[in-house]
Amino acid sequence: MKQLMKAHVLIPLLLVGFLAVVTVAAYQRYANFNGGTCPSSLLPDNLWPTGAFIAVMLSFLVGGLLGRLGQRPSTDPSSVALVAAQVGLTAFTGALAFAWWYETRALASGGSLEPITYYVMCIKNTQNDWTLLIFMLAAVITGRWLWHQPGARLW
Amino acid sequence: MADPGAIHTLRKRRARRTTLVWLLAAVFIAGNLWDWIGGHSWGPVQGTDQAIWVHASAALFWLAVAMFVLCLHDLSSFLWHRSPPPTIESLPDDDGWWERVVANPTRRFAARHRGLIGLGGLLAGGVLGHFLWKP
Repeated sequence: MKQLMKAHVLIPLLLVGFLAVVTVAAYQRYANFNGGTCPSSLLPDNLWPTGAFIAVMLSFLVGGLLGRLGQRPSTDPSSVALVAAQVGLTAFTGALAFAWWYETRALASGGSLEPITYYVMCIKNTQNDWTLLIFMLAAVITGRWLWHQPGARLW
Repeated sequence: MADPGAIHTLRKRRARRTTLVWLLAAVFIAGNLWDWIGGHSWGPVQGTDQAIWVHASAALFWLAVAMFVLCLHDLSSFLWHRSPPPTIESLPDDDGWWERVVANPTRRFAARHRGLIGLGGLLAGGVLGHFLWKP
């Protein structure tokens, strides 16, 4: 239990708990949502990158910088922490595989199933700012994870 | 001086993991070919001019399956041996010329620059999505 109280384990667990609550709440709120108002296409793109694109890229870089801030010199992580990280990674890749299986089935179904990208487009249409925030948060977390060097410090 | 028995075990674990990665690469290629030649149908759109999107999505599905199986292998290896799967840093750098000259420097470069590689992937995904994705 002492291991679980360490900040680097606690934060992902809090995020998982938050995700579980939000998933149930979103299902309750949108189970009967009428998708008739969703757009069937996006506005045509031009050569210039959009503000949202730049914001997500900068978030990724900020996440990378966060990985270098204020870490104490770390001792070797405990076995429990390493196994927990591997379990989390395995669960994540399992969810990813399931999501791509569903996306492919839906894309090939010809309309009987809606792909995940359709729902993302629909959510962006109704909650543009929140969608951008989620993408930026995901970019921060990804940048933080990819750029994290154990024991690295800024000073 | 490291225990030769322990090094031998680490080498065997490393070799098994590398073999699995090659096997998963073969499954990835075979799975995609199987989809392309029509051995497996994802649905009616696979036979239309929109099939390219189905195949692109299916390719990412096979990639995700390979990553998932590799993670399962690493988890079981961790639990069985009670230690993380060995990396190149856990082993002496005295393998064949391919490992010393090509493979290990490439692995070290990837480990050192995974943030930049991730940024490159994000940029490539963003640009491809920006120009190619036309729902």
